[in-house]
Amino acid sequence: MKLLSRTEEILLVAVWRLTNNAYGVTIRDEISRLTGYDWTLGAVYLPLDKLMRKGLLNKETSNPTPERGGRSKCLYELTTQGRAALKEIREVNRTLWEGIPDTAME
Amino acid sequence: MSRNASDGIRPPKIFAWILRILLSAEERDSRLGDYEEIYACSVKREGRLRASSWYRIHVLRSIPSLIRDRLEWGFDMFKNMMKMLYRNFTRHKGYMLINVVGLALGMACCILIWIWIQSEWSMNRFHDNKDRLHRVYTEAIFTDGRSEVFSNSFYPLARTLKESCPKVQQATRIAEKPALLVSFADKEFVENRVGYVDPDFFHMFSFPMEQGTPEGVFSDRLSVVLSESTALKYFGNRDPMGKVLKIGNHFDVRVTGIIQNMPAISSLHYDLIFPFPLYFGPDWQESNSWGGNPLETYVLLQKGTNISETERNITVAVLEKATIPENLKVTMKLQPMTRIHLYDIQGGGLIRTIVLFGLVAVFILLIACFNFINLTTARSGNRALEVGIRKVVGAQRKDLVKQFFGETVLTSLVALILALGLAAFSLRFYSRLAERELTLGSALNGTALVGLVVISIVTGLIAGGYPAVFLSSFRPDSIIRGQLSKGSKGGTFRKVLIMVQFSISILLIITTLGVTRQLRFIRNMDLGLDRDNILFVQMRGDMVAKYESMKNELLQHPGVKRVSRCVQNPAFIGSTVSKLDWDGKNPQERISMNWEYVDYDYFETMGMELAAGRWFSKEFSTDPEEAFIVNERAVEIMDKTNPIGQRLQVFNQKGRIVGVVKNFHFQPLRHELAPLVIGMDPGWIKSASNLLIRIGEENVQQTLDHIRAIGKKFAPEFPFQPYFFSEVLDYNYRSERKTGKIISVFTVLALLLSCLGLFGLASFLAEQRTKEIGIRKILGASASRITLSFILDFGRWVLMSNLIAWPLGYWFISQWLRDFPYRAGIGITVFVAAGTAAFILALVTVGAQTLRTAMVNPAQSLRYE
Repeated sequence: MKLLSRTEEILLVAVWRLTNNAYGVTIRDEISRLTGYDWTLGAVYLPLDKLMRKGLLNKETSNPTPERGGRSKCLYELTTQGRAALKEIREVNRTLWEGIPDTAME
Repeated sequence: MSRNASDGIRPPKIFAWILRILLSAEERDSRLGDYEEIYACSVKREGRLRASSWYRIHVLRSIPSLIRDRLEWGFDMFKNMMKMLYRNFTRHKGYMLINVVGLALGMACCILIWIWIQSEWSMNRFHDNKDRLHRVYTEAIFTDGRSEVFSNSFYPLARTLKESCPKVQQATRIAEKPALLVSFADKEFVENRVGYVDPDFFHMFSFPMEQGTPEGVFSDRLSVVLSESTALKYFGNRDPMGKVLKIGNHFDVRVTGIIQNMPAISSLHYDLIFPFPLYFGPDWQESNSWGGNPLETYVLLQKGTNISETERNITVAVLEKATIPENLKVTMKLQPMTRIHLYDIQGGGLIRTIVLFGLVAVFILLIACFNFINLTTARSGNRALEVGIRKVVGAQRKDLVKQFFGETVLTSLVALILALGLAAFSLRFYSRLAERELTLGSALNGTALVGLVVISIVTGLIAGGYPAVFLSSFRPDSIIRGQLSKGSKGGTFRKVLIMVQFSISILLIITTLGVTRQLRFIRNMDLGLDRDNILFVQMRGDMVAKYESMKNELLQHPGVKRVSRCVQNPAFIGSTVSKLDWDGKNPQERISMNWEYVDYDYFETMGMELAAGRWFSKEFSTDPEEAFIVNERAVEIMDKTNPIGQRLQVFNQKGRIVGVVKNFHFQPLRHELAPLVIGMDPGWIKSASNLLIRIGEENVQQTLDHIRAIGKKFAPEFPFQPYFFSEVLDYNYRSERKTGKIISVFTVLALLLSCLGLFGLASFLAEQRTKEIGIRKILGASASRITLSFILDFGRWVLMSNLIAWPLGYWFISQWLRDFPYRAGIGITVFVAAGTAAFILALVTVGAQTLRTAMVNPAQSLRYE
């Protein structure tokens, strides 16, 4: 399997962290917090849809809530494949940085 | 819907609308919700103003990624659709082939017809001034109500119009001459495309000059402008300007200009262009005659000129100058350059054929589209299971709709590509049939291509409509449980389409048969003369002057029976005279007759019959000056009981009627028999160039050789080409024959397509009903019995299509026959024959296919139950 791109990795991590409350707004907040940039919703949806097509994410439509103008939410969760992919990239990251002390970057 | 406190405030409308558009239908709701949630949150924290500006900026920033998202989804769907299409194709090769090839055939026909129409339509439209260029023609109305329209114009007309009609910017006379002998040094050619024009010609029309200037080319009368290819033919690579060409051994002209070759889409088409006076020779004096002269007049009008007003001005200008008899009403008319090729000024013209073929194209396309729709919808029942599974897996109804539409549209687009290939492939053969050089590229401009694509998309949408709307509405559980009987729905709809298809086919057969019948009728009609064994020759060069000695030499051969000559082609005597007078003629009455001047032995050569009096004869020395022979129709018009010996004046020639010839048809049978007066005026006869030779029935080849040898002897420089008179007669109907030929080809194609569709549908239904057939057989039905019931099922509809086709066909044929005063009549046999032919074809198609299924041993067809 191809490795995840950085954006995909960030998104998957965010969805995973949010456990049962991962939808557009929370995901955007989470990754903006994680990366320190202001993400647009559009920029979140694009990789989200791609991950869905790849089968790494699943979505489920929740009941409408009033604070959203009566619109339903679309909740995301990791699939088994998603988890596996995340695990793999974590391994790669660990190997990648192994033996390089923080001070070396300064 | 319940709303909390912050809900009265909505995000900015326009931006919400942008979002709505950019989001796919499936995601729209939840994602709009996301935006709104953040907005509502922001309103609470920072107030409405900041929230709104955040919303705006955020939406704008999202646009690029939203668009990319949509595109990526779309591409994925497309890939999936292609995959389904490919699987379908490989699994059901037969049906798909019939489907695609049938549609492609129909489209290819359409494309070919379109190319032809386009090429005829584009005639004369390349001139920059095309909307301001007109041909002037004359309409003369006689007191007896008859009117005549002619394009032959008058010597002084062009000049007069330029002088007295301010709206006429430029004007030129144009005359043509066939077969002009031109030589340069040792090169000698017979030129057939020779024009004689006034200098304005080069300003008015868009024939770009390569060398010379429009102003200067005709400053000298003895000059000529050549087309590039003609210059190359005479002078090779040498500079043609200033070279001297010898014209017909009479005089020399200097090359003063070179124009680009005139395009094939020009009805004016010349290789050599001379100043107008040279038509008559270097010494010709401008004439002020307002008789019908051998030329046409073209004008270029000012921009924004009112046509009918200009026509009135022109008429006034002409009436001032010309002396026109009081009781004749003459109106001058303008015909736009762009209509000259399509409309005869006498009415009708090529446009009728174009409309006819346009209809045929639409018909064939309809047949092909119906095939496509029929087969697709019939087969869609088979895919109910696929629909069920897709639904269970989670496909929404709109996904299925998209899929079905996508598939059919894609298939029809594939057919379009195939059709373009087919059309390109058959273009050479078709060009020969249409007697025109046709190319795919010139006709298929942007609009045409867009039109074709639109047609195939619409076809695809209609074909996909049934499965898309109907099948997608099924509940998956009932499909999978098998509660849907396959292919049963929409049966009537399909049969109605079949009925329409066969109506069209029968209509086309009726048309073809009707046209053929009329052409045969014309060919076999008694023309009042003996059309066989007459040779018709155009005399060239010295033949005309040495006619008498040539006649003597011709007659020396036993195979040559009689020889004569005449001014006009006996198959088309078109000129009329209205300057007529006889004893007892009402001077108020304007009557015109066709006229002809002939030499001795004319009637005997043509095998015409004498009704009264005698033929022209050398025994009467006054015959050339004052003898006339009229036809029976003319006697009727003159209202004489005993015409022989009556005084008659034709033009300025006064004489007496010596004989009456039985009516013979001297014009194509589109024209009613007209009165005719024939004289021998020596002035006309000495320049008469039509040679008529009656030959014996035996040893025709030998006689022809003899005639050819003599032709070669008298005019060695010209090609000598004798025609049989029957060929000359046939030539009058060449356009009708061409129409008939092309229509019959398309008729066969239409029938083929109809049967192809029927075949596909019948074989499909037979396969669907395999088990039913098996059970019927077990219960004792015979194969023939089963086949019969199938045939009746379809046959009913094919028979019913006669109800539509017959009245339409009758109307079609009677419209076409309107041009002919002499008609074969529309016999019931034509209709019955067309209906029977279509029925038998349908019968064989359905029968053969069904019989095959019905012959199968029921043990085999029921094995799996």
